[in-house]
Amino acid sequence: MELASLTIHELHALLVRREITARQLTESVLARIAAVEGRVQAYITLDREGALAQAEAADQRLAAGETNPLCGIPLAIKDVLCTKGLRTTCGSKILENFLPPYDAAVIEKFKAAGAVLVGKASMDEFAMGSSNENCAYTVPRNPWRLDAICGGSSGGSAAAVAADECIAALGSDTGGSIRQPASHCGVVGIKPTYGRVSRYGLLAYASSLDQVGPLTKDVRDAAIMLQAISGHDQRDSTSINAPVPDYTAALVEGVAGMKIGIPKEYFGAGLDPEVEAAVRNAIRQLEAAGAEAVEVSLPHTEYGVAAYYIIAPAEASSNLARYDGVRFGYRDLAADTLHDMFCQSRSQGFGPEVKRRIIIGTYALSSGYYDAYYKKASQVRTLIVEDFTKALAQCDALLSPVAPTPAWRLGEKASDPLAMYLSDALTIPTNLAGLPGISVPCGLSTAGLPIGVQLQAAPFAEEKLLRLAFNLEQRLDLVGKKPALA
Amino acid sequence: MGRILAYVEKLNVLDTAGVTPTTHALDVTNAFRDDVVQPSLSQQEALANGPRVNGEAFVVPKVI
Repeated sequence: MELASLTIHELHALLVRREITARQLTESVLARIAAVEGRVQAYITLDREGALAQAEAADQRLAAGETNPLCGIPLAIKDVLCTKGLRTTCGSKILENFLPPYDAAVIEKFKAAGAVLVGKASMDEFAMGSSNENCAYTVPRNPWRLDAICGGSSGGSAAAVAADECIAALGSDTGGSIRQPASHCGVVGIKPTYGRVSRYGLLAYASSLDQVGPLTKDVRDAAIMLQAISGHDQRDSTSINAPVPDYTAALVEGVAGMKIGIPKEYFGAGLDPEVEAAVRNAIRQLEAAGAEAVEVSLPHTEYGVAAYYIIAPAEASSNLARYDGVRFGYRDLAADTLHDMFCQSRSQGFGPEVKRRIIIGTYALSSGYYDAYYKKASQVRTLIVEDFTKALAQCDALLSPVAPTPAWRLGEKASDPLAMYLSDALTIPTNLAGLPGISVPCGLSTAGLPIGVQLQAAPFAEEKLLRLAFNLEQRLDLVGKKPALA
Repeated sequence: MGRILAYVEKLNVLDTAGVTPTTHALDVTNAFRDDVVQPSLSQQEALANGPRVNGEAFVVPKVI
């Protein structure tokens, strides 16, 4: 058995018993990367030497009795999170040479835990995309079928976990960017409650929606990773000062007495029959484990995508104004005037999808259009929040598909941005409402592509999600099924 | 871009008169902390990623 194929909790047991060393484990992951990365292309930047040095430091701590569950565990980090001295591109040419002078809060936590950071995972540029095809560097392949997209925007993180090119990964989720690639690559992904995890050092896309979260090989690993990154941080004024529960304690057998809401609008037209069958089977499995399923309604679901594609670009147009070529990032050194320098640096540095969203966002916020677009979308957002409040008063969690179809072929939607946007219809509302959501594998299509089921709950009810997901995982018995990389 | 703007027009079928806009999903107000000076980046670190610097400032094309 290759060490790289195991989970955090399996490897932690071997590490603390000193049956393996962190160096052996890291070498196993690096060997796996050497063998398959040419096909998968999950990483933008690898840090082999840094990883081995961190592994040796972890071995010293483990020898001295360290019991942190992440000590010595090789992780992949979405390239949207600042890593001190290690290139952070956000998938964009505009940050091709950016060496962050500080670590993101979650990276500080990983380093303090003794984790091993293998490299920076590919992503859609500035986290804008659903297929990871909008990356200026590498377009990862789906490990289950190399001609399929891996999902986005945390596509490299999901592909790296699925292909055993790391043990677990971090991503970020603004409209489904953790849950959707997790679903398409057959791994577990959590988008925590807005404010649960510090975003200090996360390159901002849409600040009222962005949240950092884990992608892992099973639900227990997701609980371990969530534990490691959660908590208040004064440096992120949106981070919530609330106690962090023991998430692994939520992984109990049985879900007797729990009520799962089935939002009927999530099972509408456009839902692939194989996805629907796999998700309906997940409902039956949770019923067999003791849960009660009730139909609920989220009547404004169909307006989520439209509201999101005003709010997120509006926030992005403001956030991305900082990339002006003055203090960091790409500058057109040939520009003679300050104005030309701003324009040409941005024109040459940003890719087409980023430009599209900056233009839409600027337009939606412009004088005379603000009320018609941004204010209207923010009011619709309120209606979506109210839908969730009502539905979650009737149940512990909402169960639905993550994405309406399995992964599509590379290039299939690349020239049709609207079709790409609509593929996120079932994950976007979670972010608009700030709720936690989880994607758990629940089956494979006849084409051999993974299908995920989504659970959403009230703010700070991650424990309910983990308990339901854990029981689902136990009954579906999909953990350990590995992609063919063909 | 025109198709995207046409698509978002669908929000107009909803009557939102009197609905309070949501700009922040959770019910939190201003987060204050004590005004205490914390360690920050040195000038050298802050300038390290500058495309053009002179050792103490970022250099840009002449403004006036």
